[in-house]
Amino acid sequence: MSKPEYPEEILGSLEEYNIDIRDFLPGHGKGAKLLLDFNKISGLEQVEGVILKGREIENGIVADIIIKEGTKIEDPVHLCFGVNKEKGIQEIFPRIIAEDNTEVTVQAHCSFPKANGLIHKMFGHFYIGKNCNFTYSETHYHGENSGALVAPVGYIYVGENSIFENNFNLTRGTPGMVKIMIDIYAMKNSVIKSNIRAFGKCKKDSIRIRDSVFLEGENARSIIKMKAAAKDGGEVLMYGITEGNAPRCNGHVECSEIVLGKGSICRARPFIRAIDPTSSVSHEASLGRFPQKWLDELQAKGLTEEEATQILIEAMLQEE
Amino acid sequence: MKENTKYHNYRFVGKINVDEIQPWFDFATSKPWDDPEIPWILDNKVRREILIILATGPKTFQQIYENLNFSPKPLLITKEEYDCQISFQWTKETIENHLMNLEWYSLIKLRNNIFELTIPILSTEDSEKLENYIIKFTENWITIISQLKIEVQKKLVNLNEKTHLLEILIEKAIEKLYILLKKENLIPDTPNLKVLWAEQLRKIKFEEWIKQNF
Repeated sequence: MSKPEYPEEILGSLEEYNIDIRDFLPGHGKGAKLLLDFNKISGLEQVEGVILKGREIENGIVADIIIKEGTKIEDPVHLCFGVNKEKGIQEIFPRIIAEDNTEVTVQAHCSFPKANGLIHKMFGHFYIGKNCNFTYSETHYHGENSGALVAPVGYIYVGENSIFENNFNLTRGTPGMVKIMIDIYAMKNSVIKSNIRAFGKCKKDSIRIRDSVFLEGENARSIIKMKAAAKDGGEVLMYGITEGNAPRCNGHVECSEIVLGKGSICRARPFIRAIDPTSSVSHEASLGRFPQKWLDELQAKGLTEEEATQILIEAMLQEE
Repeated sequence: MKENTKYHNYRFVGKINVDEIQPWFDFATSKPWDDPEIPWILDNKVRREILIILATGPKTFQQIYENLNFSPKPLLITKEEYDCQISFQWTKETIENHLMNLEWYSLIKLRNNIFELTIPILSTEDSEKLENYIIKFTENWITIISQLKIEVQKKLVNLNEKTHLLEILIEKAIEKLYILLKKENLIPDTPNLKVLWAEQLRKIKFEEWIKQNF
């Protein structure tokens, strides 16, 4: 696909994340690709071992992505859900099935650079088989007007002996209203790593993320890391749930949030439950400001408090 | 699972039916702070699936176990195009834990090694049968509301004109209705009826939507 077929505003919209969407377009790179321009499928490319099929519906698309048994691919499967309009509704129903013994990274980009009354909804199901290594990374950019309402829901099932890593990143631009719900079910000996990062920047920004891991199989392990900041009236709620329902499972929820400027709100609700007597679940949360010592050290190098705080936020939201 | 000691009488057994607002209640909801309307017990798909399986009738542990597996199919790709091979089975230990949990919260009970629901869960078919009655109820409510609207506004003159009085009235009236219905034994004195119905419907509605569209 040549460059002009996809809106330039979207292609360059993730530069602040050091991501160039052009590198993932059909014809560039080797991975499978599905590109959505508002509610129209504008690009679809399959590779050996990956079946991709999409159908346009009234306000969006339904898509199937199957990673065939034993497929191990280095290049990520690229999903780009772009909207270059101010208003509208984009609804996406993806179903991703990674059969047994597969290794894959899915890189999703959701970019709405002009959003001002735009609604993006997703209702996704991911089924990951046995002995898989599956990484799902989603990077969002909702423009600079706090004009998006983004409400994705994901149900993820991770099979025996599999590793699932989830990375969600919404730290550039203004988020608008964001309500995300992710339920992950972990089977025997599986490992779940979920990293959430978000930054609310003004009064019109409200980010509420519920990330749940249900440890349903023996020896399943999980860690949820939620990092967020709210400034100038922004609101952030990080709700991390881990449930230990199986023998010898082990889970942890970690939440760090920074609140800046009057009127901003940071909330954390780590919710852990242990049902099996041999399970072990823990949580830790810290909210508020950075330690004064850190700020002092940066200010001693000539930075203002605001600059020092900005650097610390950048570092917090970028760290692994 | 349940204790049979003197301490049992002093233990919270997971079900509270108190109509009067108590000092320790949540200020926002006027309900017990530890027993929210959508209890965490229903957050988990396995527990929801168990309740849905039991909605079809009492089952033994083995029957529940055998029904609690799933093989997801693609939405668009047909079996002829590619036969997807993937299946999930919840383990016996986990199901046992969930059953004990549901029993502890009095949503199911175990009798002669058979698990059964303690609450009704409606199917979509049953809800369709109710449709006409729902319309009848609503129409009667509209008549009453339009008759009383001005009268209520006159009574509460100190309220701002923009206050959504009707919403408050409806919310409070429903609360009162539940209390009176329970008193008259017209509905069972059990919590969470609405939630379970909604869960069942959500699941079936999504499946129906798939059937219609693909």
